[in-house]
Amino acid sequence: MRISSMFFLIGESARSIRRNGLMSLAALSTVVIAMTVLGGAVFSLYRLHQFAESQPRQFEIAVFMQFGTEREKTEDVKRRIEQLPNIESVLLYTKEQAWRDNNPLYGKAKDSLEENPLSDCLQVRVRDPKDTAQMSAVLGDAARFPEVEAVRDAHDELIKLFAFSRLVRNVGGAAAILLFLATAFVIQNTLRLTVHARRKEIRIMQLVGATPGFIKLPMVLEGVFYGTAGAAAAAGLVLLAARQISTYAAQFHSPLAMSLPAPVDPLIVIGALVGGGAIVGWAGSVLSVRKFLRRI
Amino acid sequence: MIELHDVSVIYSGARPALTNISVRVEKGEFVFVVGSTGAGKSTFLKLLYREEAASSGTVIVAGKNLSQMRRREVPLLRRRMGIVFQDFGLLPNKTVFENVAFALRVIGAGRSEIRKKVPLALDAVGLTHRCDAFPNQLSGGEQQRIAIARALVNEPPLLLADEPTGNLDPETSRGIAEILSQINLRGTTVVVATHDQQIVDSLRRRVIEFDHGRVIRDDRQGSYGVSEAVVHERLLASMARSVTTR
Repeated sequence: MRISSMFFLIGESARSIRRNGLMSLAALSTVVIAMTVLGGAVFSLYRLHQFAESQPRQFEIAVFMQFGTEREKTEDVKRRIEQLPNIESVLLYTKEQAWRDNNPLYGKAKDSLEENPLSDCLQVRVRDPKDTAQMSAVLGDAARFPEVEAVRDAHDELIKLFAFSRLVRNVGGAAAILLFLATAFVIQNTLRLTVHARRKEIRIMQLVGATPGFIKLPMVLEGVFYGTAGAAAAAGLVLLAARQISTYAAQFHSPLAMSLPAPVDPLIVIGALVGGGAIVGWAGSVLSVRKFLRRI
Repeated sequence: MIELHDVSVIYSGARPALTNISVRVEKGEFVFVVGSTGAGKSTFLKLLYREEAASSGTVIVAGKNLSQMRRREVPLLRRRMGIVFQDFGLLPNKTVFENVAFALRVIGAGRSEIRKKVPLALDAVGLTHRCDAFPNQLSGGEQQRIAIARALVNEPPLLLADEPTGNLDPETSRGIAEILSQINLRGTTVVVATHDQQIVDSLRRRVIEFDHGRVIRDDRQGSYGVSEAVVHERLLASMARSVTTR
């Protein structure tokens, strides 16, 4: 195709969008609404998934040293644990600190105590929370760690969280796919209407000797424009809504709000929605115009 | 220019649209195709621009055998002919100039060629002054003249017109007939399917008459209807045939 023809066809798309004002507006607003619903739902599902995934990481294995274990020995155990595979971090929570932190809890009882009754504790985080139970067993092995008195982990809570995380991933994934298909269907139908409104034009183009590619290109460009422009507007709406909700939730300083994972990079949201919109716009218009071109 | 050998067009589940048609049109001829509704005129024209394919027989247009033509070659065939319809077939959201230029655009013509050829085509139909108007701002006759200008702008050797005056008043129809005649005088082969007795009778060109998918008349300088003398002659011939058969 000649460069002049290419510019002409791009110009044709722009002219068509401008001259079919009402139809263009209808197509564009349909894409914006459909992509906002899809983007909003997928974004929410993704944040929920992120949240569900991050929660087990908040859990630690508490390794209590035997009463009276010297600090040096505790440090040695800490080093040995750090050398184990799949360990993310080990923090020493000294008995002095624990005494200070929990002092109010003991009330008058603490006055009758002559010395700190607590022992040092190592707070262990594993890289993959799924390995928590296995790691607890290793740390509680008296032959390997004779200095350890007891090991505690939130086994039951973790199992529930893993189940919740799985549910969010599976249901969310299926919902996202269904929503994507529904959105693609709605957009494709809208583009079919715009192509249908121009069936006479397609017919005339065929009769004056236009090749299928020449007829198809401006309509496909139009479809891609509706897809990308609509998706860009939808991305803006989704990001704005997400920011408003985050700002609102942050006011409460609740543990739930505080434990939310880091926000998603806006460029990823824009890229995913605009890319998806362009693909749906391209595929929708190609499928729609193909039907009319079969009539040669 | 056009050769049809023993051509039939049969649609599934219906009676044949054309049956064993053999027609030859020479380069530079002007031919009217007449007949009642459903006689096969439009199907005959559609065969020529490959809108329909023959069920049997051979269709040759400008040296190309359309029966063997592949789909991707059809646009190239159509660029070598101009087609005019009863409903004008103009693009409503393009100006007169853009409508005519469109036929050049599809063949990849450059801007300078378009600027040169479109005014010439508009001049040929006497509508240079309406080049910025949109189709809905024009009368029926003007719209048909624009359609003719678009068909002509590529300087095709063949012009096909399907009921070009079907939506026009008698006076405007005469003007269209005059333009078609002028185009033919410049060497373009013109084939016009029509119901319009007035233009057929006024131009006195070759007339091919269809009836129920068959060619029943091919007069070199014919009129729309058959004269009473010819009807009488045919009736006598038919009676003679039936007596002989008995």
